[in-house]
Amino acid sequence: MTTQHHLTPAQIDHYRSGLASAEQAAQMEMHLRLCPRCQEALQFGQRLSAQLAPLPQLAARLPRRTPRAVRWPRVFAAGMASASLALAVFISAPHLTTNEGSYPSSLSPQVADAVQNIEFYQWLSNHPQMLQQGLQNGNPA
Amino acid sequence: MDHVYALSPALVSDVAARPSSALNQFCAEVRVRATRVALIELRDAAMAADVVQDSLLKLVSHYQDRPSEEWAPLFYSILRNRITDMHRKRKVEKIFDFFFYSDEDDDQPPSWESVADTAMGPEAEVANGQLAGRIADAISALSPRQREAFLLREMEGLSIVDTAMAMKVSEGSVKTHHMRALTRLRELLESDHPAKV
Repeated sequence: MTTQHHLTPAQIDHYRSGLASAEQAAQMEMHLRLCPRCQEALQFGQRLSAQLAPLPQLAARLPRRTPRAVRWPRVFAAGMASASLALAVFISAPHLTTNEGSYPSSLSPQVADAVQNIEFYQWLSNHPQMLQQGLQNGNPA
Repeated sequence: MDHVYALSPALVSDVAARPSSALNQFCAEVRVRATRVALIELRDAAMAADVVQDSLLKLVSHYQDRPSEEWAPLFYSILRNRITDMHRKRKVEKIFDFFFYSDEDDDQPPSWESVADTAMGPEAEVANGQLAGRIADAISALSPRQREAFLLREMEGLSIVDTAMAMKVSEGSVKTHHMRALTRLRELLESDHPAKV
């Protein structure tokens, strides 16, 4: 590494960011002491930072943010939609709930009887001879 | 002597928290650079000034007893949190954008370079503004971590250890992000206008 062979930007960035090993860093420092061009390349980041000085003047030219204004038609529409939904739920709620012990009128009498006497029918299924006996006696159960 | 950019005593309500002259000097010096960092992140002059002011006040009221070497990493750590808070606030606002008119309705904020292009004045001043705009756009194109590592290391001149402390990452991570930021910036700026940077 002589002043005739300049460091590449990748080597300079590697050194500048602190990723170079101690041996590599020592070699580069030796070269940098003698090479103004590589010294200048080493200052790339600092030069960029210094050139950002006019940024506040540029920021003053950015379009100003206007305060957020409410879009009343949309708020009104959303409010109406929510109110309609709430009303629909309120109206349909009594039809959706069922009282314990009573069954919807759409059930047939046989099904309602089966549900109400489920324990009896379970017992009957475990005692088929009783069912036979009942049928013989003319009880349809 | 108080610097023109130093914290106003009226803002520091707690008498015990009045900054020492060394801390005042630090605040005055760091404010200009910190404002540039906040501007790149937030793209809003008023918001950037608020965030920097808040961060300085927090530093003065909570950490003035710390050794002066710790002020810079502590301050940038606070600033970083404030900027993150602002980004979060914007995200929350975006959720309710349906109900509001705002500037956010526009597709993208204008680039720094386009703002600089509209400037009037002496040619050299306009050219400096355009160069600053181009650099700011390139820095904005970096990932948040790369941007942070670059600005803290190059603009603020923090050491790797202090940068790691401010960014709350490992030293190795700082080195890697810094390296990638430099490489990316070279690509972005030199491919665009090789002669001007």
